[in-house]
Formats: sequence, C-alpha cells, structure tokens
Amino acid sequence: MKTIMIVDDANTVRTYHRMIVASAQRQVEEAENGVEALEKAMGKQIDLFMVDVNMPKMDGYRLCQEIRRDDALNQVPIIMISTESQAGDATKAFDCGANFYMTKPVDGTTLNDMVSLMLGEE
Amino acid sequence: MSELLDTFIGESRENLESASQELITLQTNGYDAKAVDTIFRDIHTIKGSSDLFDIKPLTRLAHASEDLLDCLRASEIPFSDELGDVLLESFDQISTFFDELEAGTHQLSQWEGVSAELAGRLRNFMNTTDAPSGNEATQPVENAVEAPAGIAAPVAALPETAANWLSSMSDTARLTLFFKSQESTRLHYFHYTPDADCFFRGEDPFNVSLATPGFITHTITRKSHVEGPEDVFLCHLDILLLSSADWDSLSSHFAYYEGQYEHTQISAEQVYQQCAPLISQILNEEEVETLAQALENEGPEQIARICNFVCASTNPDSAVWQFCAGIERLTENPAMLSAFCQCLFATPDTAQTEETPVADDVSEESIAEAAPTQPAESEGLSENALAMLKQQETVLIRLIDGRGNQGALASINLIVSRILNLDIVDRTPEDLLRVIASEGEQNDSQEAPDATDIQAPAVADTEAPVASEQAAAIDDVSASANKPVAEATQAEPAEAKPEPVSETSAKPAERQVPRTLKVNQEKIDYLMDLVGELTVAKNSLPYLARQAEEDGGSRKLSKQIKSHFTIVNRLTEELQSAVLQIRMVPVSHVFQRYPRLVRDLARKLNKKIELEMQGEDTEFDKNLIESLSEPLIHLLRNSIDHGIEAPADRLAAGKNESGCIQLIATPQDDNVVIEIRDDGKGIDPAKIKMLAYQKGVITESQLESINDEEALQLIFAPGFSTSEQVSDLSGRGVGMDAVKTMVTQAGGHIEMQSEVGKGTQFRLVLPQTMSVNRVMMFEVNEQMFGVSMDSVVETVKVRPDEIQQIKNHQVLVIRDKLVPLHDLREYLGFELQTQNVEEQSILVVNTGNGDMGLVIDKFHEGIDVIQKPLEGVMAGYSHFSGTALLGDGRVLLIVNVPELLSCR
Amino acid sequence: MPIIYKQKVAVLDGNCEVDLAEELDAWLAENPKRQLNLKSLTHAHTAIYQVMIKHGISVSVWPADDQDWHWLKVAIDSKLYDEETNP
Repeated sequence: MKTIMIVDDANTVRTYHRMIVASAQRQVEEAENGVEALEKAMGKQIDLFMVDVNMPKMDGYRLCQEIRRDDALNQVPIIMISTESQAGDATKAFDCGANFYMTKPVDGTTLNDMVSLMLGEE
Repeated sequence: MSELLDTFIGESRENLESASQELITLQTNGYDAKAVDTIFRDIHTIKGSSDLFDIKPLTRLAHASEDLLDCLRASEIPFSDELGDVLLESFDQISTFFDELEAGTHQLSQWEGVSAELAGRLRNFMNTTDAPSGNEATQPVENAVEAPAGIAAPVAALPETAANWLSSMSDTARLTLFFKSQESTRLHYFHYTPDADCFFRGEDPFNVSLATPGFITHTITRKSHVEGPEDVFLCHLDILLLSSADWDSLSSHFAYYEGQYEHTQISAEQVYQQCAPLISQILNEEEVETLAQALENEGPEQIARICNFVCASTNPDSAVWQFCAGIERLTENPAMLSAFCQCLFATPDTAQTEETPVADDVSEESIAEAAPTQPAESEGLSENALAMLKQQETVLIRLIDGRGNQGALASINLIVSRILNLDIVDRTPEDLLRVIASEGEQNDSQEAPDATDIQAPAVADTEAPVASEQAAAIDDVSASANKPVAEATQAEPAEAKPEPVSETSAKPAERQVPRTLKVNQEKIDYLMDLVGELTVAKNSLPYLARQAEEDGGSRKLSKQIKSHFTIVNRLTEELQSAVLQIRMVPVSHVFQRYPRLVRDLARKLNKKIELEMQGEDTEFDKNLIESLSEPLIHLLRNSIDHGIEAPADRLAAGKNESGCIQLIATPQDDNVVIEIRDDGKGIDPAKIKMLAYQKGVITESQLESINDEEALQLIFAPGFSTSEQVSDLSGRGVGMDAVKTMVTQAGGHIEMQSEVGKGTQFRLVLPQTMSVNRVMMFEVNEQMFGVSMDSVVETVKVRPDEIQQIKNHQVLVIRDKLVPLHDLREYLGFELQTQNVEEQSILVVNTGNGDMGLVIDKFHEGIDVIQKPLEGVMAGYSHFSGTALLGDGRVLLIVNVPELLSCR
Repeated sequence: MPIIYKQKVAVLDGNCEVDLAEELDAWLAENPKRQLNLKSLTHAHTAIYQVMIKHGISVSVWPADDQDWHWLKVAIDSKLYDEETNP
C-alpha cells in the first residue's frame, strides 16, 4: 500500500486530485499548506508528494526544499502542480527539488500515469 | 462529479464571503495592501477550482476579477470606490451563480451575457478588453508538461498560416525573427482578417498592423474568399503579423477589432524549430566552424570575438553575416546566450515531435487536449514515461551545473530505476544521464528495448551533431556496452563539458578499450596556472638561502637550501614541460576538417583540386591550435579561389586538370612549420604593385623602385586587401594582413613565395608551445624594453637632487636602504642624457643580489607576452633573455638584468 | 494631399486617404506601365496600398526609409491578384 500526500490550500482541488489518484493500492493524505504537510508526514511512510505552489504559511517551493533537506523524506518523488505557466516556473520547481511539473487544470489520465510511474507500479 | 461540485461550491462560498467582507472593510478604511492580497488569494482559489468544471461564464467572471485584483495588488491601478463596487457586484453575481447551481436552476446561456457584461466592466479598470474570440485565458496555457526552453517537452506546431509564412521568408528575415524571439521568449502571432466592409467603418487595417506595439514584421495575403474584387473600397486582403509586445498592450491595441483576428502565442522554441534547418546549415559552413565550436565550449567574450571576425570577412547581405551579427548581439546578455546554446545543442526531439499529437492552434489548446497519447505499439516506453525521464534529465543537468537541489538526487534515482525497471542504486547525476540517454536513443531508433538490459548503442555516432553532448561524452568514458548497470557506475564519471584530450571521438574502434582520459580543459588550465606559480615561487629560494647565510650566519643551512633548490628547480621545469605536453594535440585535430572544406569550395567554383596533407601527427599546443586554424582556412580559401585555375585554363597552360594543394606540418626545434603550397597561377608582382598603388599603400616613386620580391610582400600590408579582391565565396577579400597579425600574435611569423604560372607557397612558423611571461615595459631612448615582472620591486620617480653619490657610484636612499643606481642608457649603449630632467624614473629590481635601481626614461605598463629566445647571431648575447612581439608589431627586447649589468 | 498625376508617373505626397483610391485605380488601369513615386509619402490608407498591390505596380522612387517598406515590396512582387500565381 503506497501513500500519496496531496498538498493544496483549495479543498476542491484536493478532492479532485484525490478522485483521480486514489485506488485500492494507494492511500491519500491531505494537507492545506507546507507546514501541515511536514507535520503530517512525520513518522509516516510517504511515497509521493503532490504539491501546489500557492499556499499560505509555506508555499510549494519552500516545501520542496524542506522535503529535500529531510533525511527521512528526501528520496520521495515530488510532483509540483501549479496554476502558473511561465517559462521560469518549471525551472524554479526543479531547482527546489521537484521531480515533475504540471499546470492546472491537470489532465486526469496524465496525472494518474505519472503517479503510477513514480510509485513504480506495474 | 456532483460531490466535487458540492465541495467546490461549499469552499468557494466561504472564500467569497471572506473576500466580500474584506472588500467592504477596504472601502471603509481605505486601501490596504494586505487586505487586497487576501482578497486576491480568495478569488484566485475560486478561479483555479472553477477551471475543473466546464462552466465558462463563471470562470470568465472569476478570472476578470482575479486579474483586476492582481493589478491592484501590484499597484498598477488605483483603488477607487467605483472599482470596489463593481467587484462587489461581481462577487454577488458569482454567489448567485452558486445558488442556481445548487438549486439546479442555472441556465448557462443567460449567464453568458451577464458574465460578459460584468467582466467587461471589470476589465475597463485595467484598460483592456476581454481576450479575443475563443480564448479563455489571457495568457494561453502551454502544454501540461511545462519544461525549460528547448530541452524536454515536444514543441507544438504553429498554426498553418504562420508556418507557411515563416517558411516562405527569406533566410535573413527568418534569422532576424529568430533572434527577436530569443530576446522576447514569446512572440504573438495575429492572423488579421479585416471585414470586407471595414473601410466604411473608418478602419485602416494595414496601418493598424504597422502601428502594433512591438511590431516585428507583417505580410499581406489574399483573403480566402473575395467579394466584389473590383470594388476598391472593399478590403480584399488579410494580414499576418508578428509582435514581441506583451499581451496586455496587444489586446488593448486590437480592442476595436475583435472578431477580425485570430491570435496565437508563439514560443521561442517554435520559432527555433522553423529556423533549425537554416541555422544548422549555417553552422556547417566553413566560415562559421570555429564559431560553432565556440558556442559549445567558450564564453561570451570569445564568441563575440569570433563573430566579429567572421562578420568582417563575409558579405553583409549573407545569412552567415546576419547570423553572426545576431549572435554577437546576444553575447551582451549571457543568460539569453546560454539559453540559445542550450536550444542549439539539446537533443532535438525530432522523432518524438512527430509522434506527439499536435493541436493546430496553441492558444485554443486546453490542458486536456495537450495530454500525450500512448503510441499504438507499446513495446517501448510510453510517452508519459519518456516525458518523465526527460524532466529528470533536465533536473540532472541543472544539478550538474550547480544550480539544482542536491537533495533531489535520491528521488531521481528512485524514479529512473522504477521507470526503467532497474535496481535502485546510488548513481551520480552523470551516470543517471547516461542511463536516461541510452534509453532515449533506444526509443528514437524505435528498437524494442529490453527494459532490464541497458545497452549503449552499438555504434556511437560520435560525429552526429544531433546527439546530446553529455550523452556522447559519457558514453565514451564507459567501457563496453553490454555490462550491467552496476559495473557501469564504477566507470569514471565525465565532467559536464568534457574536452577530448586526444581524439578518442575519431576512432570508434578503440571505444571498447579506452587508453585515454577525457579531461576537462579547465582542469588543465588550472594545473598550468599552479605550475606557473610554482615556477615563480621557487625562484625566491636562492635569495632566501643567501639571507640565511648573511643574516642567520648559517652557511651550512644555506648550502642545503641551495642544493635542494637545484632539485626543486629541475622538478619544476620538468613538471612545466609535462603539463605543456598534456596540452599538446596533433595538428590532424585541425587538419581533418580541411579535405571536406577543399572539396566543397572546389565544387562550388567548378575547379578540380586535390589536397595532400603531411605531418598530421605533429603536435601543437591546444590553445594555439585555434590561432592556427583561422589563418590556414583563409590561406586555403585564397589558394582555391585565386590560386588554382579553372580546369580548362590549367590544361591550356599545360598543367594537370586537377590542381594540387599541399599542406605540410613539420616540427623544427621549438617550432612547428606549416607550409601551404599550390601549383596554381601564382601571384603577379606587377598586379600587386598596381593594386597597392591604387589603394595608396605605396607611392608612385615606390611603384617604380620596388622589386618583384618586395612587391609580393605588399599583400601583407595593412589596407591592401579590401573589396577589390572580391571572392566568389565570401563576397569580400580575405585580409592577408589579418592573417599575418594572427600569426605574429601567436608568436610566429609568415613567409610567402610565389612564381607566376607555377604556384604559391606560404610558410608559417609558429612556436610549439606557449610560454607566457609577464614583463614590465619601459622606455629608454625611445625604444621599448622589458624586464621580467618577477624581478620588479617598485617604480619610483625622484628629483635629480635626491640622488646621491657615494664613491663614484650613484645611489638612492629608499626607506633607509641604499639602492645603487645604474643608468641603462649607458649599459644599452645609448648616448648619455645631457639635459637636465625634472625627475628621474627609476625601476627598482631585485634579481637575487639585492635591490638595484635602473635609471630609465619612461615607465610603461606590465603585459603578458610570449617570450621567444634569441636566435641565430643574437643567441650569444646573454644580456637579453629573449624577445617578444607587441601587438603593434614592435619588438620588445627583454633585458636580463644581472647579465646586462655585469658586462661593461 | 491629393495625388499628382503626370504622364507616366503619379506622385503620392504626404498623407493619402481612402477617398483617393478610386481615381488611382482608374489611372493605373489605363496604362499598366505607369509608375508611382513614393518619395514624399508619409502615410497611405489600406485602400491605396490595396490598389498598388492589385496592379502589381512598379515604384519609381521609394521613400527614404527604404527598409520599412519591405512588406509592401514583397506584397507587390508576389502578384497576389494574379490567379495563376495565387490561386
């Protein structure tokens, strides 16, 4: 059983993404911002992060950096999902430690595929 | 989905409520940046979530509100009560929408009108009207897989009209457009189709187009359907327009012409794709070869220098000139230049671009349509998997460049292993790139990759300009192709920008057993610097030894130091020599381009020419090779262009139909001699004389007096070769004086011999290695001399009365030390100065025997020179340690002070 | 400014508005060899340009800032109205 953590300040978006990625083999955790995400991830086995950029308290970029700094979490893949779509944003996401960058609204099939790949599912 | 909708409405109502409250407070208490920010975030969330549902009027209204709030928080527009009222009205309307949605009484067609009207009013505050027909977003959204320019995601196709236009453009126009797109990253393309009766509305389409902000270029086309073709007052034409301005200004400019145009945003990558064949072709031109290499390996200054050079010797109307001028301008912005280079040398996804389903109009493409579909045969990796790999590649490249987040390496390892079904191993970024690259090559060639078996391609196409630099380089380093991954990780990781020390890339057969190492050139240069410093540092040892003896009274210690110094000295010299040897490469490195060059040029001119090369193994310093290459190319060109005659002429002259050019390299002492000989028609001294006279290089009397030999040498004179010697190839004469300058600046010289009807020979003598010394220049009797900077202590100017006499010697007291003075005029054999000068210039040096002052005329600056030892007759004169050539052609004699002073 | 019609050349001066298009069209139709002098032309309405392009006219003198008129040259040269070259 793999655990995915969805981090986004909009309930609707979290619900939407959950609907896309949840399955019998996957469990979904949610957090509203970076701080909450890190708190909830403590002591748990997280297999994938899906991170929004614009969030209060701690934004997506910062969260990525914190995840990469953490010994327990740093090998966990991160998909960054953002409303922005400017040339530098993907680069910035990568530099903060994200593995993949997508813009909203995401295509369900693509997102699910990417999640599957990152979780190493057959 | 209704669960989601409920969640959406529930959450959004909260946000709306909070936003409205804040807004009312704002209106009461006045502008507050924080409050505006909060309101923006609330609406931003609503808009973002509303995108998930296909409720256009709702999204449109939310979007307009969001944009307006964004302008407010960026302080682009002032807050006013009026503005606040319209916002509140919009919020209320959105709330009403929610009510109807919940009750199931919504009617989208009615919503359209209401939404459009409100949105319009909102946008009025921003002085923009709504985005044109068909576009929801003001900023058209790119593919879901967003990636940095040119590297990862496949590029969408341009609209057909745009693509046709671009391909019909002249080369120079396309290049101009290309460079503009590099500067602006995004261009806007308009297909402006004015209504046939627009003149009656007072519209003037051509001028609207010409007045567009950021106007780059436009073109006129016929309308697809023409009514009343004879009526001059109907508009029969359409306009295709490109602009570099931002969307806000553009939408504002076209505000009144809604419905009469289609807009598409075009990215720099898309323009590049249109220009790629042309650019590729230009980069393959001989004149641009050094530039192509420089773009891969060198920094902006060097690139600019080369561009300058190429521009100076090519036709300004040619695409090559245009290209180089454009690149030169780009060098002023290193970030842009590097993005451009990345674009050039990244793996063009030619195979993948064709497979990806492509939307006709990027602007109308929603994210859903952008999702790459799975290829029918799923033997290889899926499109998504490849896209994921490409993104990992991007991250890795940034990591290696030192810009990424090192902490990400573990996750990348994980992902790559999972996608490729490998064991999870702690690989370095370079290894990961190799693994990804070999996978990518497999997919390109459409072989069915066995996921568990990583194979480097059997025959590495090491010359393919298409192959990614990293991939090719890293492939070379690893031993064999069939070993499992674990072993491969132990292979030496190559640097991000490897520079082949010897030509491993030219010998595919040896790839299996590498006998050579690829080493980053910077490391060698650093090593050279260290050796240089060591050389200087060791020089103070004898001096210190003496100090130990004199001050410390320890003769034994002094002796020991001196004896060790001998050892250190020898080792240092050997070290210097060994490092220099590392930098030596055979001239074949440079020569190997020439056969093709000659063949192509000969063919262009319909001449038959054979190129014979000898001595390709002769070795040469890597740094000097480039300074060799340009003059040689010019000489070869001249030979082909002006030297070798057309086949018919040759036969008529009793020669072979095929002309012969010999290129011979021979080592000679510390030099390399390179000869270019042709059996062409030779250079006619009489013609040269006439030309020189016409150009004002020689006077009329010289015209008479100069003999043939001297006449020939005139071709090296500055100002000689200009447009008169127009070459069919480059449109302008190639400067022999430029060639001569290049050769002399490299520390060599050039000779020429020619016989009319028989042929011409050029002989270049260049030093095999570069030894650069720093000397301080000074002037005595209006002649320039130099002295090694190592020995210079300081420079002083004193009044004559400060100089004292002690027992027939002149001395100077500097900080309580007695410094004996020596008048260099005397030692150099010049007349002594008789006039009184106000102040004397004194160069204080120390060559191990204490300080001494050299009285000279004038100081000059310190420079780096290539010092050559005296040769021939002068070799015996020890008071000069060598000579160097200054940039202006003067010879600098470098003084060996102790020797000079010891001989009277 | 009104267009000055000489024997073989019409001189367009300053700003030429839409109303001048009809006359120019008729004049050019009379003799295909007639040319236009655009040296002092600062601004012309689309309708005027349209007439030029329609007749594929020859310009005897271009305005001083030659480069900016490149698009017009291209348009005229491409014989847009010619059914054979532009179906």
